[in-house]
Order: sequence, then C-alpha cells, then structure tokens
Amino acid sequence: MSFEVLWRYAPALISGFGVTVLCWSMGAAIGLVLGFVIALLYRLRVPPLRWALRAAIEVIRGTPFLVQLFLLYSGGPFIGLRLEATTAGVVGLGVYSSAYFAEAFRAGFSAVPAGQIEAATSVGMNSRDILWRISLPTMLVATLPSIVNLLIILSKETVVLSIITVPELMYQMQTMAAETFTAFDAIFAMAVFYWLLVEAVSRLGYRLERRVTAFMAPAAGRS
Amino acid sequence: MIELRGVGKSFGALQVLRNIDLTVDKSEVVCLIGPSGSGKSTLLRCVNFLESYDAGEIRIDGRLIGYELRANGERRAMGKRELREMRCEIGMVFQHFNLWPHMSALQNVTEPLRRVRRLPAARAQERAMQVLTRVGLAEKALSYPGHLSGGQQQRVAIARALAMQPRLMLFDEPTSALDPELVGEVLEVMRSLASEGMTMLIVTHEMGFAAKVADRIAFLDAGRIIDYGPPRQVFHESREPRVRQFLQTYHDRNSF
Repeated sequence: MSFEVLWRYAPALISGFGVTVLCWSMGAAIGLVLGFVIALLYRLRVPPLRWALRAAIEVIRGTPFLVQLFLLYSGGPFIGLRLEATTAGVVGLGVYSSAYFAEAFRAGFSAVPAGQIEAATSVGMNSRDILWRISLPTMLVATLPSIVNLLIILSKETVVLSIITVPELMYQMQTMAAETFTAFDAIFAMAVFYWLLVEAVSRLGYRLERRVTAFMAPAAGRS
Repeated sequence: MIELRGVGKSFGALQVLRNIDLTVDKSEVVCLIGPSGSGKSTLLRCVNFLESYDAGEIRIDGRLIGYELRANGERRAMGKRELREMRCEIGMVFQHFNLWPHMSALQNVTEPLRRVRRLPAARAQERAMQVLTRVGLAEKALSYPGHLSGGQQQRVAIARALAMQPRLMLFDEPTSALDPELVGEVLEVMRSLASEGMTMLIVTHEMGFAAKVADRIAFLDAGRIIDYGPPRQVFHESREPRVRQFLQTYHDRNSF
C-alpha cells in the first residue's frame, strides 16, 4: 500500500471522481425524465405505441450496458452520430437507465389504489388533474425505494465508461495502476470512493423516503 | 330527480342488472338493500356513471347521464367534459373512504373546490372549514387520513362530497368498513343530512338506519328490484319469500 503514489495521483483521482459523479448524475437525470415519459406514454393505451415501447424496454434490459455503449460510441458514426466520449457515456447511461426507471414508474402507477382515482373522478376532476394531483404523488412515494436502488446500481455502472475512454474514476485508476504497478492500491482506492458515493446516495434516499412517507405512517400520540 | 328506466348491465355473460326502474324524488332518501352480489353497488355506481350501463336510461334532473341521444335515436358515449359537469353535481361516498393519503383532511376537501369549482384558495378553505365543522372535524383539519380513525375518515369523505354542494348524494356501504363503535358517528351525519332535505341514494346493510331514515326501500336480488316501498312495508309486510328469508337471517344474526 503506497500512500505516496495515491497522494501523487490525487488530483487525477479527484478529477476522475468528479467526472464519475457528473456522468452518473446527468445520465440518471436523462434516464429519470425519459423513463417517466415512457411510463406516461405507456398509460395512453395505444396498442402500437405500447408494443414499440415494450420492445425498446426489453432490448435495453436484455443486452449488456457495455454492448449498448459500444454500439452508440463506435457504431454511431456509421449512421452519422458522432459523439464525444463523455457525451456518449452520459447519453448511454441515460438511455440504459430509462428502461429500468420506466418499469419502476409503471409499477408505481399500478400501485395507486383505484379508489383514489374513483374518488377524484366522482367529484368531476379531469384526467390531467387526476394524474398530477392524485396519481403522481402516491406513485412517487411507492416508487422511491426502487428509484434509489436503481440510482445506486447506476452509479456503479459508470465504471464501464472507462472502456470508451471517458476520463472517469476507473479510467484514472487504470492509468495510475499501469504507470506505477500499484494495482492493489488502485482497486482499494476505487472501493473507498464508490463506497462513499453509494453511502451518500442511500442516506439521502432514506431521509427523503422518511420525509415523504411521514404522513402515511399512523404516528402514535399524534391522532 | 333521479330516474332509472329499464336499466340493464352485463359483465360478459353475467347479467348484473336487469330492467331496473327506480325514481328518487327531491329530498327523498332511498336505501338499496339485499344480499351481496345482488347488484346494489353496481346500480349505485351507474348513477354517476363510474360504471357504464348497457340498456335503459338514467336521468339526473331530466338529463341522461353517460350517453348522448342522436337525432336518429342512436346513442353514443357522452363527452368527457359534459360527464364531468354532471358528476360534480353528484356527491359520492365510498365504502373504503378513498381519501387521498398525501393530503390533509382540509386539502382533501379543498382540492375538488380548487380544481373543479375553480374557487380561489381562501374561499375554498373557508367553505372546507364550514363543512368540516359540520361533520364535527374542524379540529382535525390539518391531520392526514392515516392519522384519523375510520369513522373520522368517512366523515371527511362526506365533507369532501358535501363541499361541492351536490344536488344529490350517493353512499356505497358507507359504514361496512368501520368498527361497530364508529358506525354511529357516520350514520348521525347522514341522518342530519337527510333531515335537512338532501336527496340520498344509499346502499347499506344497516337495517335499523334504513328503517328509520329511508322514505323508500328497494330490495335487490340477482339484479332485479324484487320489492319496493316504505320501510314498514318492506321490513314487516313483504310477501316476497326472498326478502323474508334475508331479513330472518339478519334478525338471527343480530339477536343474542
């Protein structure tokens, strides 16, 4: 274990960590928005649209992220899509995660009790208000744990981006390991960085969950 | 006020409503009773078109609900906007309250006032507090449904419907999901509504309440109204064997 090497490479490692966090958060943002739109479109009950979305989700979920990333980065230029490595990485993470987020949202929507929607229908609320005011809040509360889970998994998928030369943490670590022959130190440092990231996300998720579900739990002595 | 003529409905091969005729006049209280699966709830839900009907007509103040008649006599589905307009004049109370869990009691009542009646926030809140006071829950206005008892939740649900100032109210087994001790407070609110002249159509298993409050009782069995009349007549003088058998079972179960 050589702290001297780690110290020398610290600027590169920290910059790599920054790129990792950036790719992860931007990819997740794209994935969340895209996944939400897919889940909404899915609710329209237009059969051809449903089949198309289902097929897309199955393809994305059925193939490794690495393969998708290669297709986007190396195959993209053949159809005139030339992306810089980091952009390709972010877009790739976004598309990949959107399939999983879409499924989580879809399940969340079906978890909204029919009675809540019936009550809103019976007072004459329109479908847009029912979606935004009634279904959505309940759906988000129901989905939050699996969203946090997906975010954590996604944060670790970012290591794959090193293969298309995105200068994220894994990439910097590999460079350090190759230049200084300190494979163990590199792997150890990686583990610490990722553990910090995941721990932060899961704590944040837990606090958020407690906040949004506070009104649902029957609190003792607060009746 | 509510007029049903020859109403019929099937779920696939199963006919749940057959040729139902029923009229509820203004300020009248009509209770629908009968064994489970007889079609009471389905009938009630057809009145505000939460459930569609296949045959016959349901009219609210003379206006057909759910369908539009065309010049050639055909009918087609009513426009969404028109249907919403009709629904907001019909209050409905559900067996499982169906309050929105992410909103306080007050917000549950103001939400439809804001979104449907388009009242400004202050006016909505004022009216919501009036109805919550009326059902005896002013001090629970800021509580969330999860923190209220079943009886309190159901009273909030009644307040939510009432705040819309509906022309009539539908109740779908409003006390069936409640602990026996909490049934009274809900029935009390309903009784006071009836005495103030609200038009009410109620599906219930509370025979005592039906006997005291209803103007008419309709007994449903297998999708048909097999007996209809004032409570005394249906409860004590019915000649229908099915009705007598049902009431006998009810008596046996409730005497100890």
